[in-house]
Amino acid sequence: MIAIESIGLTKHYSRGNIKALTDFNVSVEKGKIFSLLGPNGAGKTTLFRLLLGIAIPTSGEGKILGKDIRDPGSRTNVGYLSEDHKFPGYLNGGQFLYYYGKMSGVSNYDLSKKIPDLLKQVKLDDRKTLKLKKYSKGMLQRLGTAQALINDPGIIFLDEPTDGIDPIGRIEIREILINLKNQGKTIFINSHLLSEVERISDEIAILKQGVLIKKGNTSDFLESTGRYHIRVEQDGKNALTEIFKRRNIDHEIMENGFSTAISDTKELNELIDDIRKERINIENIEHLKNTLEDYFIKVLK
Amino acid sequence: MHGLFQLTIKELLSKKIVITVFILATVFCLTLIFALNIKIGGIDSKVILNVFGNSVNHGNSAMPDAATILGYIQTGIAGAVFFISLFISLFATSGLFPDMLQKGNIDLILSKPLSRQNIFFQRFFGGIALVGLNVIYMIIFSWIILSAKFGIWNFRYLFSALIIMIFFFNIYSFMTLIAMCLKNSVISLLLTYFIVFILSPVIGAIARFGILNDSFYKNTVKILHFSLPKVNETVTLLSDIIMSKDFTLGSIWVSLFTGVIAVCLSLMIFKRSDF
Repeated sequence: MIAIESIGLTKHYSRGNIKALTDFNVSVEKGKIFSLLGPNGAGKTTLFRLLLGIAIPTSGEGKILGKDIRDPGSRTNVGYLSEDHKFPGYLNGGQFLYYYGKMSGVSNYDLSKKIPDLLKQVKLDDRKTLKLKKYSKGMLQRLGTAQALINDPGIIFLDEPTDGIDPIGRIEIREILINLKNQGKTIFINSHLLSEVERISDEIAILKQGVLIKKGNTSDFLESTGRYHIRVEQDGKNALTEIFKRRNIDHEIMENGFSTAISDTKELNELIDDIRKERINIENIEHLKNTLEDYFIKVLK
Repeated sequence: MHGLFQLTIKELLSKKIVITVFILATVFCLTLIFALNIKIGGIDSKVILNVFGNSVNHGNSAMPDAATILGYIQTGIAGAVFFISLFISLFATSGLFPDMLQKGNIDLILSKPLSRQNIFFQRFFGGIALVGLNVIYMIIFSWIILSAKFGIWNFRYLFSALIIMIFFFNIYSFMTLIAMCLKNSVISLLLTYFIVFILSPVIGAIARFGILNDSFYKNTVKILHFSLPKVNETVTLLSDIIMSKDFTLGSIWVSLFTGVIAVCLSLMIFKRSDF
């Protein structure tokens, strides 16, 4: 089932002089983590804004769970964490979740049960009475994530969810997201942190200047380089160089090992046999792949 | 789904100024209880009025009857509530729309399953509701005390709360429209103060005394006088109603009409805006 659909969504400002998003087509299946990538001003946040009714499309259509994005009802089953959120400083954590939960249509009874659970989940249960003006950026980000989950949404839009969060906080947010995915929720992420996106996304779309450049499964972006990185004990390095020369294998000496161009696993296993015959201790063998970052830079250059 | 309405009330309460007005009103009414002392007695039902133990004289002329004195006091209080509470209420509510429209705040509200119309009205009436409660509290509390003191229950005084609220609706609508256009609370507040407390009374006076001869300027003043909040006329109406004089509701109908127009324009801007 399609959770989010964009059919030719277009947003132009200043009578067409500024093209924030042009003819954007994408469909996201239910239960997937879908990530949007692109440099600043690529149109990622504009797409979020159009889908959530924050901005009005110049042309095109959008649907959330089959409902037109112009219908406020399309946002009933949606949670959202905005990029530059500005939460009311006069509220405390519990009150914030209460009022925004009410706006999402959650009953008082459900809120009384969900608020403590969510605060615990984002590790803010001991700060629930603290005014938001005293929260750090990371705490606000975690509270924003809790807010996005207050109505138990089927679809969650997260605009830079790990922005301002320390590495441990990022791991926690990642765990929350994977947990949500396991619950069958659809997650639509906009992030600059390519390594994070690479780890959790099922599908990725890259935007540049408001235009979709490429869309596909995450594995499509992580192509094999056809090279392996082999690390051996210090004593065996000279013997290994001899093996490479003897087998006529292209290799490159790296800081902590060798990078070799081996076309298939058969050739790799023969090499390992030779290494072991020479009683060289192998410390590590790694199949080198292009990272999302490599792909991203290549595409956007 | 009325979370935004509740949030608006909470936001206004978080501004200490609303609570301060409430406390000051309470202190004023309690002062009335202890400071004001009235005796009506004798064959000619002579009125003896004491304030803080001092007898109040009416110059060389005879003291008016109790109902007239009560009317004067109630008109004074209604006038004070009108000017002071409106001045403070505008100050307290001036940030409601500009704050809501700030990037990062409006995004979150619009992402909720609420129509823009619903969002607008929850915010708008959230502001009116709290100001209304304060005005009603002040009028009813002072009405009970004065009525008990004088033994005269002037129900017409209660209408002053309704008139003040209609006038507040009118100027709050203007302020909302300015805020929608400029998205700045300070400028919208200053412009509203200028319109209500300077421009409108001046235009009202020019229209009343017929100072201008040129037909173009005359017509311009007429249009402005019709469109702008009617401060002079509303104060006169308050006095006339409380003092049981003849009155016309023309200024109130015009206030309601221009207020509704300002609300419609504000809503139209909000519904068509990108955030």
